[in-house]
Amino acid sequence: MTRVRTVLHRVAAARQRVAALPAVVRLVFVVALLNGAGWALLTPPFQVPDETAHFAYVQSIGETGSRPGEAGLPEFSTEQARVMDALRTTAIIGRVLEKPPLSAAADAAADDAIETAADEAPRDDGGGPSTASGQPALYYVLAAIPYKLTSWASLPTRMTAVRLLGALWMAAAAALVALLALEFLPGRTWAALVAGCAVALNPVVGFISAGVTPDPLLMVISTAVLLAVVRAFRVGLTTRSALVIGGLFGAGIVTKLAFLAFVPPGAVVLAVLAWRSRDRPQDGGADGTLAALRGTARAAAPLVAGAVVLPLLYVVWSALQGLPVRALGTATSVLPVDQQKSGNLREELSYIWQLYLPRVPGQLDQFGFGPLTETWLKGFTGRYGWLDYAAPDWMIDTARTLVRVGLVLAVVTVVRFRDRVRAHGLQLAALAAFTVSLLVVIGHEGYGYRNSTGLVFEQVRYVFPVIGVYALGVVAACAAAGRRFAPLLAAATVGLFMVHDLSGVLLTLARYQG
Amino acid sequence: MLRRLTVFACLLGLAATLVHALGRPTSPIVASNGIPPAIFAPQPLGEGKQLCEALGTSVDRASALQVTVGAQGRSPALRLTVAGSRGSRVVRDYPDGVLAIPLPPGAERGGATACIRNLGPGPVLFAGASTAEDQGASVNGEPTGFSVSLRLVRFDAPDWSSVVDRTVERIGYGRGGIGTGESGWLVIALFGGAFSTALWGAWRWAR
Repeated sequence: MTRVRTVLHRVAAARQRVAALPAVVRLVFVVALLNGAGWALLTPPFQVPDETAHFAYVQSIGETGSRPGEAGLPEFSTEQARVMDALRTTAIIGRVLEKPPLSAAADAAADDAIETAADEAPRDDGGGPSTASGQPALYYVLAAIPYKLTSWASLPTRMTAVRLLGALWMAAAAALVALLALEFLPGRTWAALVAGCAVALNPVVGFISAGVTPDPLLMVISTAVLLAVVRAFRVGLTTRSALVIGGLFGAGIVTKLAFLAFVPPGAVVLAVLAWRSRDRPQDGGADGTLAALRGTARAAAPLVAGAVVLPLLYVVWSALQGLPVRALGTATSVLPVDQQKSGNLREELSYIWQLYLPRVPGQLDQFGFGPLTETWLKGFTGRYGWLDYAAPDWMIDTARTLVRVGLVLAVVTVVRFRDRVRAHGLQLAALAAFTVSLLVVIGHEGYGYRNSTGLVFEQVRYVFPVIGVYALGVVAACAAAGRRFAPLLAAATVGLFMVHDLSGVLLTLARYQG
Repeated sequence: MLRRLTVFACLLGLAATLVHALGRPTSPIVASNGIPPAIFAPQPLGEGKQLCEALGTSVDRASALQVTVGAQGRSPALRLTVAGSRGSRVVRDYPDGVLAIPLPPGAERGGATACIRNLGPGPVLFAGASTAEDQGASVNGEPTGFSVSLRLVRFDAPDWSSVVDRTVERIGYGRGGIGTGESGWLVIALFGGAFSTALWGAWRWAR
């Protein structure tokens, strides 16, 4: 009875906390949830990048409680392989002219095969290495919950349940981004609205979040880290907030290896936060310095404690399963050894530079195409499926113009409100540190991948962990219109986001159902 | 007033996008054998020889067979037959590149294999991709280890507005029993809900 009361009390407390959120944040959450759920149902099964491997990981945990990656086992369970056959998954991926079942008869045949597979085919005989099996397990463990709750149903139903969890992550990320905007412009609801909708109505975010993939969870955790750090600079680091930030770092580390990009800047930023929040000694001198360091260490202790819990549990779990911390994965068509390049630091720096900035005289072309347009602009405007269909060129040209206008407006805001920008200097520096670190790590990984496979690694979803920074850029662009017109510009921008989202929906319909 | 205009402009943007999309023709390609026109075959199809390749699908709804050819401007006449049907079609005087050969009458009753005979003058190359030795196209009955890229196209592709019902119904396909004809309408309701909620937010906070 006491337990029930405790649970009810906690539920009531959680409801109060949700009710205390600004109405605009709740609205953004609802918009993102509806949009994410729409994408989850719109996109045919297995058509989000690497969804075949991610689903196999979820199924492995759901059916056996064990991580995949054991050499000698097949990547997919018999059930998944049969469903992929029924849906012609491998024939469709990368081939824009190939479609899922398009007639009622073909659909009925596919459904029969899928339901027979659900009834008869083993679900626990996969578990082999895949492109996902080298990743840590937090997302997959959480995704196994809706998977298990719907274990009575066919595979596409279980997949839909897991995908809807992704819509929830997307909604949480959009709400956190709205809160992040309010940290910089408290009370300006238009800022929270446009920042939140920059995520909630982004079709590429919707498409990816609607898939079985750890990217949306990583986006939530990373955005929560950015928000918590920005807030800690404003209100100081308490024991509780330190534990939360530490916990978020731990969760990020066991969600996807890409989060490791946040660790070096995180260590510096959190050291600064701990130093600012230390117990201040009364006297100066050597003893004072020592006391200050001790105070900093005391402030940092909950951070570290929070950060190690989940990774430690993960290591213990892996040891109990007899798997290495990083299980065996499969690489994408590696080049023959004699064709692989070893690379060097100078070339790598040039590669990273050209990935984000225009090539300068004296630099050798590292790509053979312009990554600013081909990777980032096209990727963000709309590249869907297994990167096999995309927004038409006129949309890319329009997006380029809008980005340029937005950048100019953001610069105008920074210059016009430089005093306020300066007042947020440390917070903005922290956001910049996380962003630059992530971009450098993506470049580093991309350089190694290019040298060993000859293929392009970078995709726009890899920058989702700093999507909050993009949203703040949108807010900055709107703020250039001044106090009176900024809300109107923000509303018009929300309209633009809706049109963008709708264009992605229509492209997806044309790709798979046309 | 400005707030009203802004929200109205948002609505107008959505409506214009929908109208633009619905007025566009659907893809003229109704099916393909899944082979991209990646490279030309190592051996040209000589004069008098016949190449046959499985379509992997029926020719229902299609008007023509699309191939990618290279004949250095000689454009030898090509005769298309579809196994199982009686008629044939011949094309002449075409430029190198993508070529749509009209399907012979009765092709829809035929099997799923297309044959192209080179009537000359000169050889012609077909684009496609390499495949296993015993698969792909055959020339005069001999396997070639090369698959020709074949696409079935229609000349009278309808615009999207005339296939809305069919398209919405297909959203539920391949969902193993949970997908129904109503799935598509649910998707529309979800996106509609997201957009109208966002619009309401823009209306409320654009001041």
